[in-house]
Formats: sequence, structure tokens, C-alpha cells
Amino acid sequence: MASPNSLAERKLRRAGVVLVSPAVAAILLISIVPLIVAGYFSLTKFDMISTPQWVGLENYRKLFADDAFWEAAGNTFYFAFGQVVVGIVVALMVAMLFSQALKGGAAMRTIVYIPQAASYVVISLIWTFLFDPAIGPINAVLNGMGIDTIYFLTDQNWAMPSIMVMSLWRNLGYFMIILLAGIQAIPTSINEAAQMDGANAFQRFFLVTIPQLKSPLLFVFVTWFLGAMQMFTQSYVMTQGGPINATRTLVYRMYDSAFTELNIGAASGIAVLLFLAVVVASLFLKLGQKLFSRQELATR
Amino acid sequence: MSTVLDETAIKPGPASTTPRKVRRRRPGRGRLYAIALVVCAIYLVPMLYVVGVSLGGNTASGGNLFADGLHPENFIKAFQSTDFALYFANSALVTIVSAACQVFLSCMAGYALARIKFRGRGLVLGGLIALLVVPPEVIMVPLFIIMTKFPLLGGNDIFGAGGGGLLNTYFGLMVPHLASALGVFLMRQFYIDLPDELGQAARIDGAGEYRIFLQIYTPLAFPAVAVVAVLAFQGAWNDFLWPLIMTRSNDMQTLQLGLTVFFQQDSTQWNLLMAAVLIISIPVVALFLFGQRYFQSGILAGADK
Repeated sequence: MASPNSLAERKLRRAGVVLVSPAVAAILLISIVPLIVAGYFSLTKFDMISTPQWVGLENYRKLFADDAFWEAAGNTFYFAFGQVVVGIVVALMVAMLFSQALKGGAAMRTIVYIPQAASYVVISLIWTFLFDPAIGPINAVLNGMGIDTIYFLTDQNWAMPSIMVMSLWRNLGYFMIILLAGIQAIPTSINEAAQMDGANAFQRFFLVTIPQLKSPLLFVFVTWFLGAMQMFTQSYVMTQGGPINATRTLVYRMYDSAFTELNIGAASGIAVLLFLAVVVASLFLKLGQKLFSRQELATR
Repeated sequence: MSTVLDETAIKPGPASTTPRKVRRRRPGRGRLYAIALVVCAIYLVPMLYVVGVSLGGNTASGGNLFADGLHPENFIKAFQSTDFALYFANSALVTIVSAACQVFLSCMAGYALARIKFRGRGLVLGGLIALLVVPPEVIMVPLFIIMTKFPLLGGNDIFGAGGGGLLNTYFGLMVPHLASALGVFLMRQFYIDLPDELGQAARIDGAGEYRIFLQIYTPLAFPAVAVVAVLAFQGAWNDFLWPLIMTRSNDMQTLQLGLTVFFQQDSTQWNLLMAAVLIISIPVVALFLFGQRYFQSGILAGADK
């Protein structure tokens, strides 16, 4: 009786390995091997043609001494932080709005969600038109109100905030849905109890809703921030990194280093640094979530 | 007794409580609808504006979209102009093949990780969860080099030198979209919640594990398959950076790259460009709307990890 059972068990385990292997092989090839290769190339001098030469940490030393790298890092941080800080407030407000039982609420959520489906190229082209100083409707409205034309994409100070607003517009729906689900998961009894105790709407929002939303808020903050750190397409399509490098991000620098300067070492160095930032941020997220869930257990 | 009951039932009860409730709620409601209207306008106005420009004449500008009348033929013109149909075919091929592959691999691996105990399962699962956060941009440059130096393909010798490897090939364009950690993870989360009894019953009837996977559990996993398929389709269809670096000739370009054909800084024909934008976006938006009812659970499974 024991041997056929163990034969079946062995067959089952073999089926598990057979089923999981193709995906593991593919993911090894397209994610893990490139990560290792990036780490290796970042320690070499390599131009894609001759063989890579080992240079140790030279690429990193050069990167940290390179103004163009720091400028791109600053631009990237400005873009990511600006978009996320404003975005999280707006997303929370819109999620609070849609958590009310509104007529047509499902349709309205869908409308806010639709830009999420379109590509960054498409969104960038649409907003290039909307921002256009000569034929764009935004400047037409501004001029109608007696405000001078704003050169949204060609003014050094306006270019990055303009791309920020556009990216926020596109991404809001996704993060709003996550916060909305968080709000809907809060037991109504807590809010009712607070209301009975005489808490007004503001007190209920800041003292009941926000503390209950710590985990989803942290998740939204970290994932939105990390996503924004990878910004490339918007700058490439709308401003080509300009004016005067005002919208050149880290991924854009990586692209330039690899494909115009043929400096794979520097490009891989930027990739590794971006990857390390992702690792640190997701550890931070894990830690925060663990802390919050412990607090929730304690209050329960 | 009965008259007292009738009185309380008909007269004061329902008649007085309902209006009081409505009166208490109404002022707040009106303001909420006003804010909701503004939020929707911020999204609807640009979208409708795009539709307006795509139907307008060549000289469309700020206030007066239809000065030259309506031009629905813009859509046909956009489709017929410079290789647009070719780009469309390229995008469709790359997207459909890689999305199908991703769905299939995700189902297989997700099923095994959820329902079969095999050696190394914990390691694979842990690795996948760690990979969920790796952004594709980080691995673009090394992956590009691996693809161009791939041994024995595209004119390369066994050391990966001499030719272009998978550069400028359909397979090269598909590679990053053939599998994803997120797809496997989402499928696993779904399979794990399905009841064990179904498989046990089938096993007693003599069904093999592959049949149980394909014919019993996978049809039940349709909502998760829909989410993974829509995400995979969107990822491949909307990708820009990878085709930008992987294509060398015009005949391999995808739609997202081809859009720049219409976008020539000084002589942009905005009506044709916006028509092209709509043609390109309608398939993904339609898929999104179809997959929407399955989405919330899918997104949240990702958020919970």
C-alpha cells in the first residue's frame, strides 16, 4: 500500500517541478541574470564592442563626481517626491469622495481610472497638445482670463512641474482605488462610535480614518515613489530631457550613457544604484507594514 | 388594540422619519456631487478634447475645433499614412504572443506553487516576491546586451560575437514580456483559495495532475487569468523604452514608436495624431473596461504581498 502512494507522490512532485520550471527559467533569463550582469558591468569599462575590462569601483567614483549624474538624481527626486506628496493628498481626497454612496459612483471611478490604461507615449502626446503655447486649450483659457501665455514645456522652471501634473493625472486612478478599498475596509462601527462621542467630520477624518489607513497609505507612497523614480518616456517624448536638462532623469541618463556615450559601465552603475534604492524602499515598506500590523493587533 | 397599531403604523412613524433623514443629508450631498463633477471634468474634458481634435480640420486650435467642419476620415487617413498599418501589425503580433505566453506560464507556475508541494517551492516563491519590486527599467541595458550577444543567434558565433543577436527581431521585442513575477504571484494567490476537494475527487477518478490543472482548476481561475492577461497585454502594447532600444529598422517598429512619425515638432498634424492616439488606445481601454470587475481583487492581492 505504501509504495504506490509514494510513487503517486513522487509523480505529483515531479509535475510541480515541470509546471514551475518554464516560468522560472524565463524569469531567470529576463530578470535575475540581467541584474547580476548589471552588477558585473558596473565594475568594468565596456563599450559594447571590445571585451569588458575590470576597473573595480571606478565607475561609481566617476558617477559620484559627475555633475550630470547629480543633476539627474535631483530632477528624479524632485519629480517623484513632488508628484507623490501632492498625489497622495489628492488621491486620498478623491477616495474619500468616492467612498460616499454617490449615484453614478462606479461610472465616475471608471472615468478617473481610464488614463491608467493608455501608454505614457499617448498621455504625453495628448498633454503636449494641451500645454501648447500657440494652439493648446490651457493657454487659451489662461489668455482669456488675462494671464500671459505660459511656456509649460519649454520654460526651464515649468517643464518638470508640468510633467508632474500630467503624470499625477494619469496615475491617480490606480492609487485612489487602493486607498478606496482601504477606506471601505474600515468598520463603520468605529466611525459611528466616534460620531456618538461628538467627533466632527474633521476629527473623524484625522483621528479615525487616517490612522486606520496607515498601511495602504504607506504602500501607495512607496510604490508610487518607486514608479516615479523610473520616469523616462514622458521626458523623452515631451522635452527630450530639456530645456537645459531640466527634465533629464536618472533613467534618461542611463539611456544616454548606454546608447549615445556607449559607456555601459556608467549605465550599469546607475541601474545598480536605482536597484539599491528600490531594495531599501521596499525593506522600509515591509518594516512599516509589520509595525502597523503589530499596532493594529495591540489596539484590537 | 388594532386601532392603536394602525395609527402608529401609518401616521407618525414612516411619514416623519424619512423626510428628517433626507433633510439632514441633503446639504452635504449637493456639495459632494459638485466636487465629484469637478473631478470627473478634470478627466473627461481632456479626453473629449482629444476626440474633438481627432475629428477636426488641419488647423485645429484652442477655441475653434470644427472651423473646417467634421472630418471623420481622419481615422482612415491616420491608419493609411506612413507604415501605420505595419506598426499596428507588429504591435499586435508582439503583444498577443507575449501575453499568451505570460498567461500560460503564470498559470502553470502559479498552480504548482499553490497546490503542489515540491522541493524548492519556498525558494521559488520567495524569489518571485522579491522580484515583484524590481522595475523593468533597471534591467533594460544588461538585458539589451544579453540579447545582442546571444550565442548562435542572429549571425552570432558561439561566443556571441559577430552579429546582432536578437536585436531587431520579433522574439527580441517579446522577451521582457514573456513571463512576469507578478503574473505568477497573482495566479498563485487565486489557485490557493480554490477548494482541495475538487482535485482529490478527480484524482480518485484517475485523472493525472496535468489534467486536474488544465480541466478542473484553470477554468475556475478565469477572473485571475483575465487580470493577468489584461496586465500582460497592456505591458507589451504600451511599452516604449524596450522597443526603442531593440529596433533598428523601420519595419520592426511598434505603434508607440510609430506615433512619433506623426509628432514632428513643427509640422505636427494634430488631428491625425489624435486620431492615431485614439486608434492605439481603444484596444487597451476596452480590455481594461472588460477586466475592470476582476481588477480590484487583483490589485489588492498585489498590494497585500
